[in-house]
Amino acid sequence: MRAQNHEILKQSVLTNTEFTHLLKPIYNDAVNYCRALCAGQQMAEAEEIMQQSLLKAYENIDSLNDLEKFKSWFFQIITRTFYNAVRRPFWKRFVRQSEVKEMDFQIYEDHFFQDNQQLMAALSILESNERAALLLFELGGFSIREITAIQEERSESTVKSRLSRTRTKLREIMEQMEESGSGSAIPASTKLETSDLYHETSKLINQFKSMG
Amino acid sequence: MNESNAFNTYKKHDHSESLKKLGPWLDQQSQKPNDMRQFYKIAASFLIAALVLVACTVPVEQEEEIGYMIRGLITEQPETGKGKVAALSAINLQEIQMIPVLHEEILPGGETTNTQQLTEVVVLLPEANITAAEDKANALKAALTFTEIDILPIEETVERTFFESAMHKTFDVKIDPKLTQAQIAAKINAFLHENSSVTEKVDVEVHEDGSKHAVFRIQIDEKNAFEVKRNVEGLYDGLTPERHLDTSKEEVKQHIVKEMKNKEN
Repeated sequence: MRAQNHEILKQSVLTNTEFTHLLKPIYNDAVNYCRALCAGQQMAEAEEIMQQSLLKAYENIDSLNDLEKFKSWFFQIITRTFYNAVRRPFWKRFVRQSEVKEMDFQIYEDHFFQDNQQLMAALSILESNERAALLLFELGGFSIREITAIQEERSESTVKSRLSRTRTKLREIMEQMEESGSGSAIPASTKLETSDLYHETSKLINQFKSMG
Repeated sequence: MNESNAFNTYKKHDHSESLKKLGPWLDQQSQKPNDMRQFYKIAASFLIAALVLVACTVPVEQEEEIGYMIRGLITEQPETGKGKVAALSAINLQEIQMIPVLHEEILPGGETTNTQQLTEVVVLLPEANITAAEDKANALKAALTFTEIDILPIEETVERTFFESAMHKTFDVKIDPKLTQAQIAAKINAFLHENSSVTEKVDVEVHEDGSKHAVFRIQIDEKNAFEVKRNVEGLYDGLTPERHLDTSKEEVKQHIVKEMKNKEN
């Protein structure tokens, strides 16, 4: 099987059907991972990161030597694309990187975002590398060794302690939300007093961080 | 809801509907942009090459040293000064000018004081050789009493293309002063024979002051010959490959005969 897979890769670039077939078993996890990774951002940004990742994977599939590693390879592409988007210069955030043609292809549906508000709000408070490590473990089902490789860390103990710390932090944030009773990221005691949304959001994030 | 339950619920979301549309979308997205990227790369390469070429042909003005002027003030009278200079082997009396001048110092208030009768010494050196200029200035300083002396460069504005200008600066090869007479003669002969129809050979003579001169003789007829002497330090301009010596030996002879006849008349 392994030799056969290797032979497929050596032959040429995969057709879209072959690629879709390869992607099918991990597609749901990958899409969920990408959305959770982009917690705190607009749906359009998650959509763009996922689309870019799919395109990169499809165009560069010939650089993958072992199809057995397709899952970790694809999740690494998503993670890198997300990091690049986060580090993108401020002005570039207003410019679409690639011209996506008008076509009926949308990954995320609106209700998806309404159903997971509490988890998304809690995840959005975490640092991006903490969030990625936790989501790779929880949604991707990767081992600590694999997460170390995907996050390009030097030691497994770094990832292990990151995971433990992040899980504790997430639990505390979610408990705070439960206690507030609103089920949303905003505690009941906090009310927006001004229309300066950016300012108020920053204040809230700092409050949550100080809790952790 | 704890975080494990939240993740379990979250994982249940099914996105298989979008997967069905993925194949055609991937094909559409991956094909044309690639062609365009390739096209842009080629276009950018051409554009950059064209810009470099245009930039290289833009004319630029360059200051080029063509000689030096030694200028100074001495306390001696012109006759006395010339007498002292005549004893110097490094200086040819004909290339030096001495003019009496009234020297005044201007005070901060604008008033002048300490008026002195001095002699201005000017030596023009038509070779861009700073070492030779310094040697001559030192020889003058040793012989005369200078109140001030300067070596001033004589510059000429030359217009070259940017490319030529860069090449000129990079390959500014001059005749190495350490070369022997035979080596210099061989170098000049090789250049002359490669770039002209002249077959005569050039000899190199060393003068008393140590300067090397290329001697070029043309035998016009049995009785008459013409000789050109030129300091090898100034030969650089004549040896640049872009200046081809198109004039044939016969043309040179005719030109010289014509000049000689004019002089006789």
